[in-house]
Amino acid sequence: MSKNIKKNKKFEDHVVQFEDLHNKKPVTRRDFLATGIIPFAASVLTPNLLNLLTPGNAFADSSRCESGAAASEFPAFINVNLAGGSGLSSHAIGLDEGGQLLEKYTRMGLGLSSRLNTVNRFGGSIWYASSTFLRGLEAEMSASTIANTAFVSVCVESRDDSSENPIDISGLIDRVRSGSLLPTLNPNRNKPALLVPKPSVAVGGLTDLRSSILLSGNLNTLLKDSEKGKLLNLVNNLSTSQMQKVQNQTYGDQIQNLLSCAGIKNADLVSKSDLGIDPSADMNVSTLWGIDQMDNPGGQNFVSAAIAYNTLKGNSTLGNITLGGYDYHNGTRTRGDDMDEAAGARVGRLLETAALMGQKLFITVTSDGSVTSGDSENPGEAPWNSDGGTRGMMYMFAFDPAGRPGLKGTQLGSFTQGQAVNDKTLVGGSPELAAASVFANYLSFAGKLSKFEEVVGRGTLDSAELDEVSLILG
Amino acid sequence: MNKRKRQIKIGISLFLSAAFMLGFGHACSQFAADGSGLVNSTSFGEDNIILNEKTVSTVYAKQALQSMSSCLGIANPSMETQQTYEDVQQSISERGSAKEVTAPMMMGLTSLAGDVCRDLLVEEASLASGERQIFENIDLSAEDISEDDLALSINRMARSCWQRNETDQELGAILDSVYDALGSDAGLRKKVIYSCTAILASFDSLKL
Repeated sequence: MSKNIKKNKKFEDHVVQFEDLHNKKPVTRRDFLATGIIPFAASVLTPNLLNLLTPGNAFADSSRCESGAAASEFPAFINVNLAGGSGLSSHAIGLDEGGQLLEKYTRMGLGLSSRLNTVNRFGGSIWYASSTFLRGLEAEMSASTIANTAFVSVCVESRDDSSENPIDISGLIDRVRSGSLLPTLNPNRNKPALLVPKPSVAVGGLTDLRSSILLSGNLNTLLKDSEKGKLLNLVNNLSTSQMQKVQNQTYGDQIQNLLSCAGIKNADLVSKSDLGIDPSADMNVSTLWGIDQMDNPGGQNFVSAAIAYNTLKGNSTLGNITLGGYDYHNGTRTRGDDMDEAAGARVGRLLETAALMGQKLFITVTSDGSVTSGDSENPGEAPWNSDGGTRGMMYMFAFDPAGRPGLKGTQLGSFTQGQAVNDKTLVGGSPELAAASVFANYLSFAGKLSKFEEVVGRGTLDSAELDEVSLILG
Repeated sequence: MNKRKRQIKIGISLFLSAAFMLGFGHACSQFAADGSGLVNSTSFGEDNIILNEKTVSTVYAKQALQSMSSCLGIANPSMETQQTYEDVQQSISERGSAKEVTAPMMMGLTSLAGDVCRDLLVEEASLASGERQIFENIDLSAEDISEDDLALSINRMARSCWQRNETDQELGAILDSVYDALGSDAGLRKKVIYSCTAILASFDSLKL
């Protein structure tokens, strides 16, 4: 420090320095107060904070810290990704361009249409009557939850066994919805559609959530809450002044904005007494998922419950749940049936959680590719023998506690008589356009379809196409 | 004459190269290869590449503990610190991209810094006074630490982790915060860990 002072001495000859008067450099707090570096003791942080909030320093303006609206303005969003290529089109049945059953589904595991038993669910969609996904789903849902849920399938090809399908819409959702405490919970393993998502927090249990919003380790017990807040403010102020040096470097202004916003948010968090992030604290949710505070907080049920609870409560921006083992074409039908039943049960519990918490929820179920069955005329009999990305499908579920959302249709895109996705439709041959259409349905469900162009930009879907693909109404 | 011809040839080549780069470069950067017209944005913020300037980046998950420990000269982080690292690792950017800084990441790094600072105090307390890196000739067995000694340790920590002397403003801000937050009789341990954490979790310690 004395070096710095000496270095600048030649510029300061006309000013009487602290050292000149006291025969030493300023070291202590009192010295700094005396020199005027600290105007007065209690407000040492104020100059930096004022500097932070000066209009010229846009990066420090806390109003710029959240780019999405408060979570309460948009429904909760959760993606369930079945990694490996689930046969989703063997549960919700793919229809032709005219909305009719195909003549046969002999390579899709459902045999001849003449032998196929179907049921009508969730506002008009047609499901295979013996679908294990549907069985798992409905086993977890109450009658009223089923009655308040709408469903739309999206017929779209995708690459088998690949994370290269651009179907992750986290980056679109996080432009319109911001969690009050947490960012997106868990990354999506698929390639982003249109916009790269903001960073997420990987959730392996309650500890991960806590350590994201609370000080952990020895600081947690060493410092009182008020002391933690002041420490985080100090870190933020030191960083803010240090970042001035990188302002003109690549990404310099971005890191200034992100780091300042992070500091402001963290200092605010420690002052809150109850963060309410633990799903086991909610009796209804805890019972539904079979968890309580004594259970393993890193278990799969706990993680799914935590994602659902925090997303529905508006704590987090959105949630991603990845279930593995869906590359199940092993020459049997039973393994695929069991896996799909488990997926259905997971989705059913998520919807039931929304019902228990009285919140709107939009769920997408995605996979990479699909499966092809042995050629059989009997529904539900043929084993899954190989991949089948040309028979791919995505699901959209929309739950509203006030009543089933309106529907303009139950299927986006269509299948051909060749038992493959019709790639001539708007969404059929492009997973990215299909994902954009899913986002349009989310916005439509939220009653904010007008936001589409603002987020996605022009040229992806024109207004007529936007209207055509938006089947779920708010 | 030959020289003149060669200059013209070079000029034409340069012109054609520039035209080629401009034409193809622009076309390829804006539209997806499949001709769908979709623009694949690569970031959630506006990319602002500044020519001939360094790209700002931060510590990333795999090296966060090592980076903090090594700047303070801690050879073996304690089991407790390693556990804290395990707990917070998921919130720290995997690549250290400036665009991946989040509130949870900063919370995690601050928690980790607090534990590394505790390790520093424990490790240096076990050494003879003259062998210490940060607390040389400072009585670590005392109940409290004087303001002069605290300022001295802050200077040594800044030189180790910021690789420079702290500025007067930084020293003033740290000391004032220590006394404002903790009070004057908080004791050596609390004052040292508080000031050390502030240094270790601030930008100049985290940038690469």
